[in-house]
Amino acid sequence: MYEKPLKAALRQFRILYLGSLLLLFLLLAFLAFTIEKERLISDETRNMDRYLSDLEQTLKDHHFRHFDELVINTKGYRIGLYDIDHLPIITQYSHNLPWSEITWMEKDVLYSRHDFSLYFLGVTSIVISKKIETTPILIRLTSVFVPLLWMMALVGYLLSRIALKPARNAFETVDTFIKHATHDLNTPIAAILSNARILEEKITEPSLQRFVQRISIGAKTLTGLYEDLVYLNFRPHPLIPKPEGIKALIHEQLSLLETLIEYKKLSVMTDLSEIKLTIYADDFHRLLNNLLTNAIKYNKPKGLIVLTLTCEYLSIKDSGIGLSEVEKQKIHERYWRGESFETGLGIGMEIVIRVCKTYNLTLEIHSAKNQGSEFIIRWPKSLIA
Amino acid sequence: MAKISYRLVLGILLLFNMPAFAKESFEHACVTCHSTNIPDLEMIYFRYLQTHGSTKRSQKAMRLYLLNPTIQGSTLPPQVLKSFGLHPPLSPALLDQMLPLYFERYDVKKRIQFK
Ligand code: HEC
Repeated sequence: MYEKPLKAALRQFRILYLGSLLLLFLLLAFLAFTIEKERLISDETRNMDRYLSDLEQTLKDHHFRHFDELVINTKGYRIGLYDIDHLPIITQYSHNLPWSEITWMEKDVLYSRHDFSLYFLGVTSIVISKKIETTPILIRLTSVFVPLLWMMALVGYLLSRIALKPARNAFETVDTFIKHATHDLNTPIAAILSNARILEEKITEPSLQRFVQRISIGAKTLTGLYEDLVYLNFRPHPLIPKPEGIKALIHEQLSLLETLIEYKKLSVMTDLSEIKLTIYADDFHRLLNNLLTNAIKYNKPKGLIVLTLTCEYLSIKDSGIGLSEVEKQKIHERYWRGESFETGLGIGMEIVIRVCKTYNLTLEIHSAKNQGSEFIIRWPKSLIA
Repeated sequence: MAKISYRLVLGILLLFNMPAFAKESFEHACVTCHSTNIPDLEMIYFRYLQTHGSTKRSQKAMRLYLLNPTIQGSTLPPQVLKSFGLHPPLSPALLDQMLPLYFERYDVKKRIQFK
């Protein structure tokens, strides 16, 4: 029963670790990418500069040997030759160029312009450009970062296992202890109960009878607790549910709790209709037992318990101390937020909520401090047999 | 002596300097004179480009110069001017006809290619 919170903690740890790892790696990859790209650009700028000076020399040579045609080897660049008014002499660009820049980037294309002081062949500026290929950088980065990320993730996974091993062991120890202890409780409780019953018959003196009664009430309370523990730890699900008469189940529980009711001098009013629900009887035994025990335990002496069973709901109303807003809130949260044992609701309420969730029952609580509480359990139509 | 003879030739040429005639006669109007030892027209073309930075500006400047040649306005080195003398002034009509032909003939745009 402690597996779930432990697993949740483990999952949270792993998500946090992996998330921050991923974020860190993304950041690093982004940085590396930017640096690599910057380097690529500066390399390419240098190449372009070299090419442009060569081209300037070619233009100069041709200016004085103008008798033959000039063929410019573009060497993979896009090139444009412009005059002083930025009009093209010959160009491979069809769009307007920003003449305020010397080098600029446009959609991953690096542009560089060279302005001449001497206008050989009437050329005053040359613009060249080349696409900066970032795919090789990306491939290189992923080939480094992805395996690294896997490795770190694996390390994290192993670390989390190692770190949480003691906690897991502790939980397992507690778990097995509770299971063993539960088993061992059975015999002594049964012994106390049967012996108390014998005593009750044998002792006729009223003052002594009262002591024996208290012993058997204590033993019965222990039985309830014992059964709750068995239910939580050894509930042999999945079981095939079958139609059960709820009225009979309620009477069964009432007779089990008779001693307690008598002891507190409570009166029980019942208005129970015949209805059958398709359930597993043990679940409802625990549900009823816990709700009734609460109604008895928190009731005033000589108080009242009203049980109403219709084909839509079961209402258990007491004239007890009532629930505070905080307690109601706790039950509500526990019902809607799921698995958690930190609510301090006690095993009884835990079981009530668990059974409600198993059968999709809605749990309604009407209560105010010192005015008693009413627990209403409603079931879906599909449950009616 | 040389100076006078050029002026003479120019004078003769100017006689034929009517638009109707000039059409086919860029050869006549300019090349005949420039093909002797007088500065080569192609060289002059590139010199202008180099100085003015565009064909449009070159053509404008050339027109301005040829309408009214002065030593300061020339693109050629002073020694050249010294040995040949200033250009005989040309009429606007002749220039309007000849300069486009001239610039067409040596057009730099047609002489550069990408490989
Ligand atoms: C009479 C001979 C003659 C004829 C005809 C002639 N030129 Fe010239 N040209 C010269 C001489 C001489 C020079 C060098 C002196 C100078 O530059 O002023 C010259 C120089 C030039 C220059 C250089 C100007 C500079 O900046 O110094 C241009 C341009 C030119 N000629 C254009 C023409 C054109 C166009 C025509 C035809 C319309 C033409 N010439 C006809 C003799 C001639």
